[in-house]
Amino acid sequence: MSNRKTLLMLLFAALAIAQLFIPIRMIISKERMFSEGVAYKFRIVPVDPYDPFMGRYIVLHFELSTYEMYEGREPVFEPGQEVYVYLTTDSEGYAAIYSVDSQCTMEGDCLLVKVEYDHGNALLLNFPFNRYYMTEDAAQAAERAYNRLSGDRERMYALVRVMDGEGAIEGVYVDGVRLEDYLRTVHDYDEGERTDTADTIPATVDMDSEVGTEERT
Amino acid sequence: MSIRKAITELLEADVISSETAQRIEAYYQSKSAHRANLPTIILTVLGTVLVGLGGILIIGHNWDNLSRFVKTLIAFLPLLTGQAACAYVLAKKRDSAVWAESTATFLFFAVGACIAMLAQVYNISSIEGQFMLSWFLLCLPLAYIMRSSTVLMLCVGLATYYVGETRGNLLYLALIAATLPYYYGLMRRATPSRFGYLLSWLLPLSFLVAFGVMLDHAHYTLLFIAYVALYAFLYQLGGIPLLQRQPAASNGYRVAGLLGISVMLLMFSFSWYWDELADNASRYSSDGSFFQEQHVSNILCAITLLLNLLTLLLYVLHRRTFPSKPANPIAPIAFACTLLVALVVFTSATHNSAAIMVTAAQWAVNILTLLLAVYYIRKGDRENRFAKLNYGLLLMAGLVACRFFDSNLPFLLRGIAFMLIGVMLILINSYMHKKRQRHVQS
Repeated sequence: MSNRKTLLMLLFAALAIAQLFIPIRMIISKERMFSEGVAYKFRIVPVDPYDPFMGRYIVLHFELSTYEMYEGREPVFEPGQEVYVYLTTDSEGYAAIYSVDSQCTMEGDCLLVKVEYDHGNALLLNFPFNRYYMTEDAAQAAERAYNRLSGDRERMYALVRVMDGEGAIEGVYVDGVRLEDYLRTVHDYDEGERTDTADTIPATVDMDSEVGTEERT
Repeated sequence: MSIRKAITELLEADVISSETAQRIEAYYQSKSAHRANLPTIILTVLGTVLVGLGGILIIGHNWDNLSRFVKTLIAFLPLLTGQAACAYVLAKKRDSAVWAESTATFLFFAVGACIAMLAQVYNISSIEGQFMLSWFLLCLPLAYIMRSSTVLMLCVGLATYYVGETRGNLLYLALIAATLPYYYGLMRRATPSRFGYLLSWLLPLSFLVAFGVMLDHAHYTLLFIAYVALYAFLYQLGGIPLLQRQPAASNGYRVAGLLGISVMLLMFSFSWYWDELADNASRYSSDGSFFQEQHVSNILCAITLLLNLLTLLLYVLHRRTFPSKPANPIAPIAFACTLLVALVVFTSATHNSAAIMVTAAQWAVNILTLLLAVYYIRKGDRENRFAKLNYGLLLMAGLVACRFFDSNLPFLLRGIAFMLIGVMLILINSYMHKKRQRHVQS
């Protein structure tokens, strides 16, 4: 094998390793978050009915995106600035913010987010996990379910694993059931048959399993 | 005319002997045997892309029923397949352009698909441009290692998409700079590469897109003059010896530069532009600035000046390299336009004879456009080139049309004038055609 050919093969091998390293690192980081991260339930708020259910994912809007501050507070953060929000759980078990800071220095779970706008008495925040990928059929069914359930803040939430300032969506749940499984109980979208009339939609879905701990098989 | 036809014609005219004809034919046949067949490469590349996409669509149909582990494995399949194919080509089929291009292109899309699929599996929302940047960085070396021009062109596309997605991140310049060594290698070959010609269009178009994205906050009156500077720079860049070797239609720098300057000159020929420019300059001068968004305006002015300087440098180098060639007026016209804008802004901001300056600037641009049109008409006639002649005629016709739309002349007069212009176009082309035929017959 000539020297030039050997050099090219070595360079290609290095490139191939880099091409594998990036996705593998992505996987390891997320899997570690799912196994060791703290689980928080983020309430999902209703959005414009003509919302961007674009193709193969749904866009999630969180109740926590608007964080009320105290009256009389002056705006401090710039639009686009990255800040840390400190998370806790409220009395109903859902995620709540108890503090916002430019650095993660205090005890507790902190999450890196972006400030969309600082009004002074309220902060508009952009969370880094606002997409939930689904197949095209499921996304359309999810859109119908989403619109029907909109306004009922207790029923729909995203389970997010938080670790080292980062968060990852483990799943979207309705009445404690994964959205994909919920859709199958009310709407057979694989067959394209609509069964989700007002008479057939259950008010709640009975479930026995714990939230966010089952691995999909 | 094809080589074979030319050889037959020369044989019949007794210009070359049959032995010479055979040697010429053998020489060209041996060249085409080693040369990559562009249509074959394109079709093979297209075929591999379709196979890959088809596979993804089939898998995607049952995506929801699969576990995360299986989805992750599937995400890696195209990537591993592409890497194995490229390694095989490097080891065994290094000299085959078709194999190198198709496997490298497949791997390019496999890298993007792998990252995209994993982002879906783990619901990762990427920061603006992060996905494009990662894809670019992981695939650009592939273009150099596999000598794949297709991958390089796709990387230029990624860089352009990146600058659009990030709304003008300057890292774009570094990404494009990283593609230039390969491009340079293509262009300096003794036998010009058709991929080089494609890149000679792709790169200037990418610059134009990036320029607009980077400066979209600027006031349009300043943006126009910045574009004039950019078009003049592109035109002059197309005149450097390395790029001037290619056919005129393949020189995207020159074509985009010339067309762009023409459109801008026609827009500058209207009074509303100069009125708007003067109005903005006088309105904002009271608070010590020339325009709204002063910070952006300052950057735009600096960029315009820099482009003009670079154009001047290239112009001077061109005149020294080709002293016998007549000077092209594009760069001087661009400098003149910049100077006119500066004068109007200054006089308006200082409220010093602004109205006179505005009228003078509009007249000056109209005269410059007319001179440019006449220059190309004469050049086309001298060099017997229809394209240059017709460009000059169209520019002149466009200028006349703009003036008519700008004026309050009756429709009848406008109609007569347009008919006269049309007749002039037909007569001049007919004269040129007859002149060419007389030249051939003599």
